[in-house]
Amino acid sequence: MIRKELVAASAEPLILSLLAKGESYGYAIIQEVKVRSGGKLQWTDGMLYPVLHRMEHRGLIKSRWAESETGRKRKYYSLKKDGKTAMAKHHEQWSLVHSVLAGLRKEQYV
Amino acid sequence: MFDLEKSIADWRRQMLAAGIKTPVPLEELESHLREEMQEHVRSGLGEQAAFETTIRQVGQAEVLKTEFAKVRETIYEQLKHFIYALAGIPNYQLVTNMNTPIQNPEPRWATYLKSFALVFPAIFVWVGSCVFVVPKLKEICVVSGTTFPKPIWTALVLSDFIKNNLILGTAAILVTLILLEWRSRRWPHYRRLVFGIAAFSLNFIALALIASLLVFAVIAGANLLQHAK
Repeated sequence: MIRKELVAASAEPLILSLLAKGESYGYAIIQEVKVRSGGKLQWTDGMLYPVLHRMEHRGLIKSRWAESETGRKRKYYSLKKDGKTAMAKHHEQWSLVHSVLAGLRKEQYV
Repeated sequence: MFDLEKSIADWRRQMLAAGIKTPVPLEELESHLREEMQEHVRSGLGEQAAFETTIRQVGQAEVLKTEFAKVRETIYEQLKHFIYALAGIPNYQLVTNMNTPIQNPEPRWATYLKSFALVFPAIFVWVGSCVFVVPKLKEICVVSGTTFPKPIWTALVLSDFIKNNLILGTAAILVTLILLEWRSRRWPHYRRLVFGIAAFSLNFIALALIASLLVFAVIAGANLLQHAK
């Protein structure tokens, strides 16, 4: 399992990056993160929604209610312009951290 | 027979009672609940088991409410949460504390161990003063004809009372703690705060007691010298 601080810190960049591919809804977001991480990134499901609402409140994403193919009501979220900027910033920061870490790790084996 | 609609209605009532608002976010959570349940049923779980698993995954109403409340935080609320954090009531710092349905990050044993370590000096000082200081001081008082000032006398009577009923008192505290740990769902949130306040007060009282005894000992000692002349 991944440390909770890391899970918390990675939630926003992950959600933004997922929504950059197209609009989605809570359940699908959780499933996709679970599948892509091989089940290692597991959120307490209910906790995703406060995060989504907060991001909406900050103007990073927007939402709309719609009906699915099966007639079920779903709340779809999609990226706004500020969200794209925020995502770019996240990517920049995470790749910086990653490159520093990878560089140091490589040096250990030289 | 398990009635899904009734169970969902019950769940909604619990959420509403805890302060999760409708239509947003309760409708969204319910939509999630149904979707997740369907997936569990498809993978072979019975309806009731699927429902129970899903509810667990969605999380407790109280925790959710705290998280939702943080979406729109005023400065006053931020200040309140800051004070809570200082007092050791956690989970107010990060809105994205996502995979921790348990609110208290400090494990139980750590709280107990720390409190014991913190309270130990107070107990040590108190026992020391009970066994060595107070009897000697009483002797000096009798010889020199000094009377204890009222507040110190009251404190000594109280201290004697506690000493005489030590086993009973300890047992009462232990039973209370065991009951709280066993029955109370809210106790873990307040455990650290309660222990912190208790440790602080006990240390403060013990220090005040020993300090006033010392001051009084100096006065009584002076009287003793005069008496001897």
